Amino acid sequence: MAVQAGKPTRIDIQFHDRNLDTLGDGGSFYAFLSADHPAPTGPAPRVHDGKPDLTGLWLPRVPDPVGPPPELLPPAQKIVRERQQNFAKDLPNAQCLPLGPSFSGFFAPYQLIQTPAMMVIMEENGDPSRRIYLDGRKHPSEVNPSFMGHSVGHWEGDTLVVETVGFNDRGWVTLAGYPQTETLRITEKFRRLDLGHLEVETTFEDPATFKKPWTNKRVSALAPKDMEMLEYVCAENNRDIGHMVGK
Amino acid sequence: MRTLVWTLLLACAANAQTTGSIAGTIRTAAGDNPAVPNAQVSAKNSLTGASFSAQSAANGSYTLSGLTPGAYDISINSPPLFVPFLRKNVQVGAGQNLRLDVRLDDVLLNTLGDSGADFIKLMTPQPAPKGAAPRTRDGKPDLTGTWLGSMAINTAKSEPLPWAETLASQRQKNSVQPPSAYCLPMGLAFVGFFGPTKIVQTPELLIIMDEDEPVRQIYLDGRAHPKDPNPTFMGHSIGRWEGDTLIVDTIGLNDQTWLGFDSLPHTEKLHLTERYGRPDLGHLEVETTFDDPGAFKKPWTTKRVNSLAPKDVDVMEYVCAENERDRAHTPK
Repeated sequence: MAVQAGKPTRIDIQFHDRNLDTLGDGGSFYAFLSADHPAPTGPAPRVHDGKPDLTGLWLPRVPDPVGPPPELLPPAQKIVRERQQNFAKDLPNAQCLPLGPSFSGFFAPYQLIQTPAMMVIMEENGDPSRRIYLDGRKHPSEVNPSFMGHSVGHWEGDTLVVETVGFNDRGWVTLAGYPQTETLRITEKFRRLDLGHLEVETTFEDPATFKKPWTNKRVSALAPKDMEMLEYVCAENNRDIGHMVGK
Repeated sequence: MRTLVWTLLLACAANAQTTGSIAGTIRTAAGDNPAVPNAQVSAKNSLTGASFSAQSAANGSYTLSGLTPGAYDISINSPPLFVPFLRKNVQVGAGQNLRLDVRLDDVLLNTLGDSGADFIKLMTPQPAPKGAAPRTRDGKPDLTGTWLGSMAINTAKSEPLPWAETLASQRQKNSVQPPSAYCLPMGLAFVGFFGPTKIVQTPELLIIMDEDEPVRQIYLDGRAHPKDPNPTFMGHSIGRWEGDTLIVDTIGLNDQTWLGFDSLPHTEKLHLTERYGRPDLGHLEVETTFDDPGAFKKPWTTKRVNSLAPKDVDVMEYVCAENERDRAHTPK
């Protein structure tokens, strides 16, 4: 591009989304996921024992990186390359399988329900609900591997720190196809910044996949009052599978 | 259809009575053959049509007595988890005490290794801790807990409209499989039935997590149903307290689920009223009234009592599509 003195140049760009613009309103949907949304103002509500109350329906938000990007180990690089070359044919949610906690609050609203002994995270994206035990228990010494893992949480001041282990090796950690393995450990730090905002900082640690832990962060806005979390039953009308042809 | 395992023993009857009897024990064909309680045993005289009935006890035993001599058709209609049993032309003589032990096939045709025992658990009260029902800070009973599965019993028979009855019998005749065979939800009639169910209650929202159904959200914040809800498998639910009873009202259901093992359909007009009570620490009582003028002549009610699960039991993750083996065995 040649730039001439005194002659401003205008370049308008239209991005293609990852669904190659095949979703009718895909463009605006993806823009919605990366935008900040109006949210009510006021102090964060607290429960009777003084802890912040995270309960609420939260809008999705694509997380932003915190610190250096993830560095893949060679075996994981190979898997990622295969998945990308194969046009993500085996993306779990295209087969009505869960995406896993790394996609929590990414595409769809999510509902938190906090009680003193347990917090539940319900995802509208169709993933199984997560139970986060706050009653002081430990992870079982031998966990049955699952898509959503086994989660325990504890409070550090006003931050709820949630540790999750016990994953199976069938989920994907990112849309780029980073593999989830049974040694994955996810640490989430939940902070209700104010009435209208929830911050979730997530650290991924897996010696089988990543050279060192890496972190991302999203700030979700509280959903408007008239919004309810919808039911999603993937098998009801799955149209993806026929189009996931790969190479 | 498998051959039913049964034995018929002719007991020596020395006394000169004018009537005879049939007695025996009803067990499951699968697993460790646990006893089947509360099964309805009937003997119908082939000639006179006279009918005798008895119910199996907790140990599976039953006795049909006072039978006038003749030929009888013996039928067992047990809880819907088992295939109905019929044995025709059983001859009963005066003073004869026949023994008829029955092993019932379950609806999965005994293919689950321990299904027999599992099904019996759903039909019998499970041990539960004692004590007073816990209450929330605002004084309401706290329904929060993990509850063991329990079979709901119809307190009155449902009366389907002719089209619904025809569809149900076509489904049974053609072995049409329920939605779960296609990784779809079984719907509200089956929540709390098979597996443990977890309730989490907060002042404004109560959720019910079942292992293989979408989570139910029940709004307790006073909102009304939407005017035109999008029909879903689990519907739109709002609840309110009447004393210590939580009354949950559900509409907005799609017409894709079945209302029980008799394969009965329903329409989008289905309206459910559930009454939840926690009479003590260890028990949850749920009374459900089904009202669907599109498919039934009048409303009917089912009732179930769930026991609080032991502390180490929890709702597990269930991902149907992970390893689905039904579809290949499902009739087209």
